[in-house]
Amino acid sequence: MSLDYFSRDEEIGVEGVNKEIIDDQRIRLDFAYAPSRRIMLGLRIPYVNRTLESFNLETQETKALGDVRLTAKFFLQEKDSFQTHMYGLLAGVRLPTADEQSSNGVPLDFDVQPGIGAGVVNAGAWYSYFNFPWLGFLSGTYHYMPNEGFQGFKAGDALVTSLGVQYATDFNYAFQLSFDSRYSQKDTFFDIEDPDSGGYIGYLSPGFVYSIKTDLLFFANIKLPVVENLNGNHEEGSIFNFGVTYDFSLH
Amino acid sequence: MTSHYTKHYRNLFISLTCLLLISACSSTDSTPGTEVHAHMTHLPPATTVTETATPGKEFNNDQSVTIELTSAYLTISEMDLRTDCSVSPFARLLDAVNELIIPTAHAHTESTPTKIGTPLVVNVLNPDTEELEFGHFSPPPASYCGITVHMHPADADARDLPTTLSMIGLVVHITGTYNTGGGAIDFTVESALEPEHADILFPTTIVLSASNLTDEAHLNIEYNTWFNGFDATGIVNLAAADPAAVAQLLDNITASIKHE
Repeated sequence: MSLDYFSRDEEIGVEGVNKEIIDDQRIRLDFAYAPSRRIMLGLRIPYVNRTLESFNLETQETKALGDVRLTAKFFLQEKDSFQTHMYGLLAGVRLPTADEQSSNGVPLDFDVQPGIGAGVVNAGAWYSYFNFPWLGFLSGTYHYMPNEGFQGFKAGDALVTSLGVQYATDFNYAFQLSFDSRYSQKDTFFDIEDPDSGGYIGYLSPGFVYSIKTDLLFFANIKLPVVENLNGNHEEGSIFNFGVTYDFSLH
Repeated sequence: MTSHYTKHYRNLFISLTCLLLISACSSTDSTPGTEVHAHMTHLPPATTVTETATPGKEFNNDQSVTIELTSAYLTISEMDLRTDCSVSPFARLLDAVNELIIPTAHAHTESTPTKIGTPLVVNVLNPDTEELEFGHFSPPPASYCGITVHMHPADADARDLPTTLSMIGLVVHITGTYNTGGGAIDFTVESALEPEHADILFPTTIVLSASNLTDEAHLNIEYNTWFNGFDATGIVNLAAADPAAVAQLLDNITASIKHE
């Protein structure tokens, strides 16, 4: 089980014409459960605080529960015990659990909604190499939104990848460095492409993990956008994330 | 000891979870942004207009010709809010030459934060005190010195299209009488030609900022000046669509739009 804080910002549009600044902050509660050594199930419940400031100083803000996500990680290596080479499959679904937020009966801008109003499914694969004090990991997932959500929104298909290493100085500290990327097609609203969406972005993500006590971990990382080839007028800022994880499983 | 810590952290997590769930009630907040409302009236500055029983409006022009309007419509197609009002006559000439070489097709133009592009047909016979809202701009914070008013032919989606006649494809329609002392003579003028746009300077610059989010611009259409310079012959020429007479009318229309 873990609890973390997540923060990101995004700028869309042209200054003085249609620019919007989106600030997205979340507190996320994650549960993980392993019914067997071959599968790990996950549940994420986010509490979202989003603000949108338009070029004309109009502001909108929502605070609400966001879309819940379910994930499954399958272990396919020959032996089910911990070993050097591990690999498997990933699957997940983003459920449209968040309500559309309104003000005086008028739905707020889509970019300030805590959810997207329809499900998104994803599937992929992962691999990790472990040789203490090193851990290498690689994963890729493809995301697909079959139906339109709030305000006719349909996210473009996306490929999300992560390639990284972790070095543990001892059993208390570990340092991580990864390259995380996302390539996505343009989003649409009622089948009309949003020109300021989609494209490629790559983040360099340093982070660390500290074991406060047995089974209690503190983690923090930052994602710095180092490669950006996003469509239209669209910039994404750095992403901050820190939190704690507690493992009940050994007790 | 381990058991003690386990219990402690478990309780901590349960407390944080409860805190998250308790705080998870949803709320929204919305504050409006900048707006400049563009209002229009057609109240002449002097009280020289009489509302007639026809119904219509009667006034004298600067040639002492008595004009009675019994039907009068003008298409205002677009307004632009301006931050720079120092347009040189040369630039204006270039615009006119460009328009002559490559005429622009006008109907609706796309609205932007500083442009209202939905046409409105103004019925000049409405009460002079009646205030129309052409629309509102949602511009970025800045200093705005004036508005440019464009008049292009109305399309089918123009607001307030009259039901008694068709204004589609027209900028102006006028029906009425003129009288130089020998009795009222009917005339009708229609034109699809576009008058020069009207550049209106605000008497005081509109400064939009976080402490001044909204403001207003009030424009007048002083229709009682539309026939200035026309004597009886001029109005006959106008009704016959004489190009020079029509050009004079369109210039008068442009000049008749002023800040209140």
